[in-house]
Amino acid sequence: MSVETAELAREGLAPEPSRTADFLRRMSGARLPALFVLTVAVVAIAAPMLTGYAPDAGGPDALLPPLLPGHPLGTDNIGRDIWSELAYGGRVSLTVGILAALTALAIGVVVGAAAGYAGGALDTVLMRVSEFFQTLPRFVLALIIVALFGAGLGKVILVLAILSWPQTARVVRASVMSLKAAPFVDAARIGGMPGHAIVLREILPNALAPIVVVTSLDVATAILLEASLSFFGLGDPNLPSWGGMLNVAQEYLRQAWWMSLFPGAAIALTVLAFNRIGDCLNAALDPKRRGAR
Amino acid sequence: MSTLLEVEDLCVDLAAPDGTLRLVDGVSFKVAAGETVGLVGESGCGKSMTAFALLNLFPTPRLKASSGAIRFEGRDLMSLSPQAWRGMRGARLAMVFQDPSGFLDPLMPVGRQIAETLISHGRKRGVAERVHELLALLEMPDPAIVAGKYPHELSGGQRQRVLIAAALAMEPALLIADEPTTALDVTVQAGILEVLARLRDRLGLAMLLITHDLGVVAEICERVYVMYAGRIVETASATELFARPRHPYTRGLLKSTLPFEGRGELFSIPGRVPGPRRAGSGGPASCRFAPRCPAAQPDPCGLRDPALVARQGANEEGADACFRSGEIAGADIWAGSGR
Amino acid sequence: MRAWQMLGFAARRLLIAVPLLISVVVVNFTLIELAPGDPITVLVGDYPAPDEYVAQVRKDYGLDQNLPQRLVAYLGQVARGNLGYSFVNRQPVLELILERLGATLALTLTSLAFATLVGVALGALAARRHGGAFDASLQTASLAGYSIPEFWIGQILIIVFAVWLGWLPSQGAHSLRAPRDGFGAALDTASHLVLPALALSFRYLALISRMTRASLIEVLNADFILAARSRGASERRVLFGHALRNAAPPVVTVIGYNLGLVLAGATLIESVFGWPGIGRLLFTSISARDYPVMTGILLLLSAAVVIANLLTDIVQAVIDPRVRRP
Repeated sequence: MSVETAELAREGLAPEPSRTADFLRRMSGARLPALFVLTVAVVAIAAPMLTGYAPDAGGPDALLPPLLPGHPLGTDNIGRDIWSELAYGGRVSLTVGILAALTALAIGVVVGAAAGYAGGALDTVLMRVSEFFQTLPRFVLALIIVALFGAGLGKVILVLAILSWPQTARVVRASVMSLKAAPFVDAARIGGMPGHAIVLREILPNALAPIVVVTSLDVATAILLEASLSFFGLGDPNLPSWGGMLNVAQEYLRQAWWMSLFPGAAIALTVLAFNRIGDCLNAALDPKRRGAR
Repeated sequence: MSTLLEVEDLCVDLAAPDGTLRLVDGVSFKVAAGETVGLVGESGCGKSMTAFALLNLFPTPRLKASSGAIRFEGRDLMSLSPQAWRGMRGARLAMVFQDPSGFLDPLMPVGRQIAETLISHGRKRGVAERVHELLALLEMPDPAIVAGKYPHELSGGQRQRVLIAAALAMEPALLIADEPTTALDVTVQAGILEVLARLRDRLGLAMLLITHDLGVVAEICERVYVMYAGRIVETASATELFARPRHPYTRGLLKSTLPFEGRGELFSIPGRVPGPRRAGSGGPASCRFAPRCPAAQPDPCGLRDPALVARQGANEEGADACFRSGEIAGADIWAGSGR
Repeated sequence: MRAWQMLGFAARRLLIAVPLLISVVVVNFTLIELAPGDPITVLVGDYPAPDEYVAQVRKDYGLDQNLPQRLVAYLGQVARGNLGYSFVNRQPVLELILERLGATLALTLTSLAFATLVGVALGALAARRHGGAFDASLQTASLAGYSIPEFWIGQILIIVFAVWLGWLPSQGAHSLRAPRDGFGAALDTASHLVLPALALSFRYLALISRMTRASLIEVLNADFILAARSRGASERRVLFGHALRNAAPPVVTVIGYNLGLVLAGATLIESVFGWPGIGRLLFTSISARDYPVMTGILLLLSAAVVIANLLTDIVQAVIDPRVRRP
């Protein structure tokens, strides 16, 4: 806004406090979600110690409602303990979510940096390709690929990564393009640094902020997609997963509402946590939005 | 000439996260009917804020006119209801802004934006004709065609004429122009100023021209107020100001805009404009310009804040806020300083 | 609004859409080629089909020829409207899909309409009360709406409204005992539509309200809004005459370019509610390994997204004349 920024910029508003302290203050909204994610991770890792039953072990007490001794969250139609399934299920969600996002990150960074730095024809081609990938309906594509190629954790991670990289690539490309013109890059180039080294050592470290944000959001999306795939029966059949629990719950909605409530809430809260962290990072790292919130 | 606008001791405050800042600190001025008055100062001196206060239209709710009086056509503007304000804006007083490209709705044909002034004030018939009439008044060729164009289809100068047309649609008594030519090319600037001058003569329009460009002031203003750090530091007729500036700041400003003599460096007043002070802190204990002033002396410049004092003598209508203005009148105080 | 300028723009966009559609078909082809096993299985389905049919398929799709020829053959088949035959359902795939299209469209469009109306209204309200309590709660609510899996919301809605309260039906598009024709039938279908459409609309609503709020806040701070107010325009005129229109483009983008999201959601919702649309068909065909139906659905949904993007671009050009230049 021409008038406001011109005039107000000179009004000597309060000097900036130290950057780290300021950053931590702005990230305060992410404390609760970060804590939650940590809890889920801890529970998932320590599941054998925190639960009394094997997650896939059926038992004689089927369809027990929650809050009964021995089964705090109830049991499902074959007598599996919901709490155990929930705890172990976190492993799949977090692993797939994080690994898929990191893989998408790897691909996206390579493509985006190449496109942003090299420019020209390479840029156009790569951007058209990523645009195209973004048009395809992600979930349906994932569904069909998994249906055709078989389920299994590794494959699911790969499919999700392949569907998510365009977003990261765009962000990386935008950052690289804007940093390309910076003086310190020119200095490096004059000093004889080869292109890929410039990108790796000079540009990317400064582009970290948006990359971190988009990766956090990617984790959220990947967890949601994985849960959707499992709900469709296309997750790994040997591993307990929250989506898979909802798949089983579908037939028992009338009798056993707890079979749906807990795994669904787990998915919702975890995805919400990562989205919130991504949002807070975005607000905290974006200098322009300081006042807007 | 009757007084059209009278501003007395106006203060505009900004609510900042750690307290209230006073951007305009007790500014007083008058505009007579049909007169063209210039309000001059560098960026950040508070002149735009003063303009916004006159319309009670600030870009952010954190700004407000906290005290003082504004009397326009005999009415006290500070006590108007929001409805009454809407009736005033565009009808009795109007404003033209700095960068026409931002101030026109990009998705609406310009004719409709001009018509908006008319429609907002209840005019229902003959709107299209009036729009064409206004565009013709602003010397635009083919008014009917121009009216249907979108802002991005017009040049900068044309957009500014559209804004002026929209402002004048209801024949206001006062036109406030906030840096009307700053965002335009030099060649176009002259055209806009000429148009404004002609309109003033034809319509008997009073104008308050807010600018940092002394060239603009010289071209079109009859009387001038010079602002510095939220206050008026000098006022005089335009001729008097250019011939015999009194306040060191005015003198420095003039020196920095005089034609370059081809020797040495361009002159600019050393130092920076001070930031706004906190509201309610009781006023500065010294002259605000003193830190940058070559003629400043610890006593009295460092001890008290000078008030605007009218000059004595025949033919002297001006006033300035400098303890030593009389003393230093003949000396070239800025010689040797600068940069 | 100059008509021929718009037509030129639409024609240009259409031209871009064609290679995109072809690319979609190529992607499908790639999937069929890359799938493990014999492409015949993918083209025919995991079903003991009669030999003559298999031989016909081999010929039609040029399976004995090299790759480029196979691609051309495949493109040719699709162009002719031949998406294969579903032995499980005993119908040509195209016919099968088109039969279910109506149900999915009813569900999707209802959700879209609801999400747009409510989303824009909420977003606009939050923008006007920027910084207030409503604004903050809407921000949190829309983040939640975007994070919660829609199929779970569907299940919870069923539990609350169908099982506990008994107000609305939970499965299918009609009840067994309901009238088959006339107003009664329509009402019956509508009552079956409520819960699935509601569940499907959540994510979209969240996205739309978020974008509306952000866009409107930015626009309300724009200089031309100040200028309009300086002319004496009322707040109502400012909002409806200037602000909403200028805030619309990013919202239109969100609505139009996220159709893939809605279609994906529809797939899941139809499974939860037993809604007889394409999504449900996809679900059953995955279980039955009816590959031609699966690939056929992928093709059609991808094409639908491409077309939706095209329509969105055209709407953008209608709203914002600056977009009409290439």
